[in-house]
Amino acid sequence: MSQTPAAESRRRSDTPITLTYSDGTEAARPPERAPAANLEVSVTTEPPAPYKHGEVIRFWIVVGNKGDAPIPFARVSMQLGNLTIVNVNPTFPDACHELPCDLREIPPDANVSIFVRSRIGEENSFRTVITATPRPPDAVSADNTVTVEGEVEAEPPVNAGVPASADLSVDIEADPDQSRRSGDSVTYLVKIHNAGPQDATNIQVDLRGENMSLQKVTGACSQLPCTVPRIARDGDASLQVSATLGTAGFFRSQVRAISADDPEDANNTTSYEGEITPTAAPASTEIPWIWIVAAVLGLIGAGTATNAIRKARWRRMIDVRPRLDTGGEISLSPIEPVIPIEIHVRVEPGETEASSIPVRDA
Amino acid sequence: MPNLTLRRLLPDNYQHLDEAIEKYSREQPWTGQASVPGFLWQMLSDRVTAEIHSVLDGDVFGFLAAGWCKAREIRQSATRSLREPDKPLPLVLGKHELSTGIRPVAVVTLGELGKTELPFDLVVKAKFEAVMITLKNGQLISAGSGDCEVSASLKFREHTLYDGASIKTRMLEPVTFDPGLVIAVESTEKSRAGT
Repeated sequence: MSQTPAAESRRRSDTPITLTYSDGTEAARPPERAPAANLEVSVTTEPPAPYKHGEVIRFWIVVGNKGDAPIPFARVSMQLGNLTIVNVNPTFPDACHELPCDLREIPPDANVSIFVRSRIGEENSFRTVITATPRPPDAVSADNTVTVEGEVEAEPPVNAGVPASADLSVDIEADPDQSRRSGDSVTYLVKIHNAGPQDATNIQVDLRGENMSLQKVTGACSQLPCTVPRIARDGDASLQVSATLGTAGFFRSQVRAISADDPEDANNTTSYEGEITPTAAPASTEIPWIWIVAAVLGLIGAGTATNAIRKARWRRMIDVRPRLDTGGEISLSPIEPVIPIEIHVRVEPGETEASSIPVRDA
Repeated sequence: MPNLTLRRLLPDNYQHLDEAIEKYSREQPWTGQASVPGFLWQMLSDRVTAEIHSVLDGDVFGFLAAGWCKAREIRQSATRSLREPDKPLPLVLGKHELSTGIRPVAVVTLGELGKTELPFDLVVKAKFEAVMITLKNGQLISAGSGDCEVSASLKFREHTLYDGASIKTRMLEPVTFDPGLVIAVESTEKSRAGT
């Protein structure tokens, strides 16, 4: 991306200088420049730092043509340092799905996007050099390469070099139908499994919650973080976790279980996550069953019926069957109006509005 | 994990909907003269709410897609896609705002009292950071990999039943439309693309 002073000096001395003059009878014209392509690469990285080992980051590579002639062909490549490609353009069936990626013609003022998801490895930093090489080469090559570097956050010792004697994995089971509204309580089961070949000892279990607060832990631990003394080979330890959901939006509960007996910790972390929807509107102070019971009592009382059900028409239409059971308590069978209620909903399109939308070819 | 549904943007019930339905119904011939017990409106309100929620239990991005189909920039791209039939045209949409209106109309038949229609107005607003869509043959066939803030508001006639705050969400899985959603392109462009 940068040039040495010598190269800069050479570039300056090679620059042709054209002098034009006029005798006053005709305006001097600058020489016409032939149309030329100018490839430019830019990269957006998501999410931003800090980064963790094993985290997947997304590079949004935009290869643009800032010149006034088309680029007939360009090859995009990535040098990877402590990164492994997970996928390339996963949602577009017709886009390239591996690197290097060959791009066909890029017209002037157009660009092509490539989405690359990469996983960070075990080292404490990562680096990638993304290069787009046009054919024929463009005049300005300094903007054809972008380097992205990042530091990886230090984590607790991962017992590197310790021979594996156990293989822990973490799994979460949650009821997919449970309510996920702001302030709701959710419960899920964390299962830590040891695939062996030996018993795992001193298993440290930790939980990181985003937009949720931990309420209760039962099972192998009564609080988090905690240490589970031992999980036998092919054995499990389970924890039931209850938490209260925070504000509307995304929530996540990340559970990690590590042990000195299990240096390979790629499968030792898992998450329970989802969307929190807004709290329901305050419930009406009118409770429908109260009204229903009032109506029933009105019917039972016959002579003292309420105004609403006094009319013979409604008495005829509503069927209530109070029943005295053997326990001496009154139970009411569900009230189904004899008058049939049919409801169906049709959906009609309404007004749509959109702000100005920047559109790029992917 | 499925995407956020439009239903999830709405609460379970709406305060005073029963009163609004009663007031509206009193103005209609069907129950104008009838003496109707009060609890019926509450019951009707609950049933109507449940029926409306059931038709809104779909992917929120599917509902929002109608907004893209009418945007000028997307219509221009759709015209481009007509020029190369059967070739998908993937696009990246940058930061933009979108508002899509939906009008659920509950058609209620109440025994011998007759039939009436209860019109609701739902507006879904979204602020997209970025989203990818694919066009083909002038139609929107898929959307994927987007982040946005989304909110919903619901009205029954002039009564605002709910006006929700924005929540952040992301498109966790692509949404496909089969058949594709037709994007209105200029008739001259259609004929030019067809020749």
